[in-house]
Amino acid sequence: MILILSLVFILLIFLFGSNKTAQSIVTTLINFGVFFSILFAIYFGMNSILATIIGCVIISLITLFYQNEINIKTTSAFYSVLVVLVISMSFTFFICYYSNIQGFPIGQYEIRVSNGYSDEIEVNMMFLQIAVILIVLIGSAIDTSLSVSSALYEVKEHNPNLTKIEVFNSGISIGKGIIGSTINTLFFIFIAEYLSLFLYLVKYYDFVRIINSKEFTQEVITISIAGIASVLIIPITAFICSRKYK
Amino acid sequence: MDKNKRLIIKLIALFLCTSVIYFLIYNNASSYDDSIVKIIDIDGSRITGELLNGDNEGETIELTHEYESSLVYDEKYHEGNFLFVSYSEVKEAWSIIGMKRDYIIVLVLLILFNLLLIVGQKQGFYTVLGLCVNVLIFIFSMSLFDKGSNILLLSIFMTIFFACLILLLINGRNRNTLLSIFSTLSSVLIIGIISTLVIYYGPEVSYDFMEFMPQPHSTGEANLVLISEILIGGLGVIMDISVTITTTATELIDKNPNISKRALVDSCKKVSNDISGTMINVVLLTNIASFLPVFVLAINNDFRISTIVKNNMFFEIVRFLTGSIGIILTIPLAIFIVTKFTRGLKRA
Repeated sequence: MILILSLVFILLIFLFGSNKTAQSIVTTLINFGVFFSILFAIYFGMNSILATIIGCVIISLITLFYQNEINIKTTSAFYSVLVVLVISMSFTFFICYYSNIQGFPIGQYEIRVSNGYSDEIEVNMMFLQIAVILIVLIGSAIDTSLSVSSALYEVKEHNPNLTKIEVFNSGISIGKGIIGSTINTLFFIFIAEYLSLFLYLVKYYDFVRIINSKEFTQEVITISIAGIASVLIIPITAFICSRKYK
Repeated sequence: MDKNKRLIIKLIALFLCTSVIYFLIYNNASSYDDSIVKIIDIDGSRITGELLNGDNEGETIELTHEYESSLVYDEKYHEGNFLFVSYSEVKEAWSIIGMKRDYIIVLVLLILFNLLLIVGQKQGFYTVLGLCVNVLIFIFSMSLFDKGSNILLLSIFMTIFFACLILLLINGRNRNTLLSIFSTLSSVLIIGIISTLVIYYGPEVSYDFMEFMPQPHSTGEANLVLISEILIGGLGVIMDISVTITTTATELIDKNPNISKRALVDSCKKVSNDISGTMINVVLLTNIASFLPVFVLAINNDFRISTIVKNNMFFEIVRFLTGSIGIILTIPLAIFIVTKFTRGLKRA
């Protein structure tokens, strides 16, 4: 099935795509590779948070500078992504520390102690959950940040006399226009990804158990933090652009 | 000055509302039937906590709790956490059932909504409103499913409703909205048809590793769930591209009513090619991230990498591919619909 869908995808790109689309496919493949490198770095004993941060920075570098090009728009976006990464990481750590949303609920996977497998692995699942959240949020953060910084560049280009505060305000109003669709995109991917989970929950759990359960909390918190990051990056990008665009 | 004052009042009101809601949820132990304790002290595997509800409210109890340090299935509690506990008459001791997490969900959601309202203001409010209505519709659909409704029919209904509601909230009632709804739904329909064909006529899909599929299930039921996931998962990005293209086209026609069809198509293509790349990236990262813990657990138990990827990553990759097909497909489709329904374009 994956093979057929990939063929359809490639066919469509040849039919409707441009050079830029081809380039974004290469970017996607590289990012896929980076994701696997993160997996292996963790497997070979690297600290999972460190591996993820390095991976996220590489993903941002590739998406911003290879897919687009190195210019003031992409560098501003890059700095904003870094700032948001640092902020969200501390916030995520705090939430994960208190909420115990790491790992799996008992019985989710075939791999469990009662089947003869071991749960004594070297990797701490809490850090792994933080890593998951960071990977989810980096994509949408890059997307939002780049939209704001390039639109703002056009604004400044057409009105060179704008003051820093005016540029910042204009960045916020550009952000307002795109924030809804980013949040909705995240929301729908989230519902789709966990549709089978929701079907499972309504079948076996009652409402009180659902909202306190590890599996539900894990998904809601992950996607909400991604949402928070993509809202937070709007003022940050607007601020950085207002300083850098001259 | 007056504007600033109003802004400050709004912010204070927002902050007060948020704090009150969080405070209420944080202290809602009395509304639960199960006994809840708040952890006051942890010493190794011994936990001391105070009962917050029930007949023994205010009493201090002792619990034992052991965990594996990797925390794959276990939980590590901290002072200040709330736990559900039950008393066993036989053992004459309290034991832990689970953790209370409702207030953490509320905290994170409140932060998200606050940021949306502060940064997005009116648009942010519409986004929050849209999210809330969509969640309610989703819960309603889930309860219908529980009563035996067909999941695919429910998903088709949800897709149409979500698309109409969100596009109306973003654009208001006008021709643009109508065109966006039309191109969004046709694009979703096409990826639905493509995936249905592939699922039924391609090699048979194995659902043994689909997370949380209610057991037992038939392949037919599982197929419907997969198609539903594909429809809903593609909706967000498809909507995004459709809106961008219709708005760009309308802008261009407004600014220059004599624009040629060729120029219009070219501009729309340029804009959408700019955004499609990062969007495919979003779809990729959002879908595959949750694979990380599965991979680490499996590979530490000596599973072969190819087996893990083939079994556990299958559905993530399927949703990524259908989402990306949706993105690529929507670009020409939306442009076609816009040009088709705009009269008086010069052919050139």
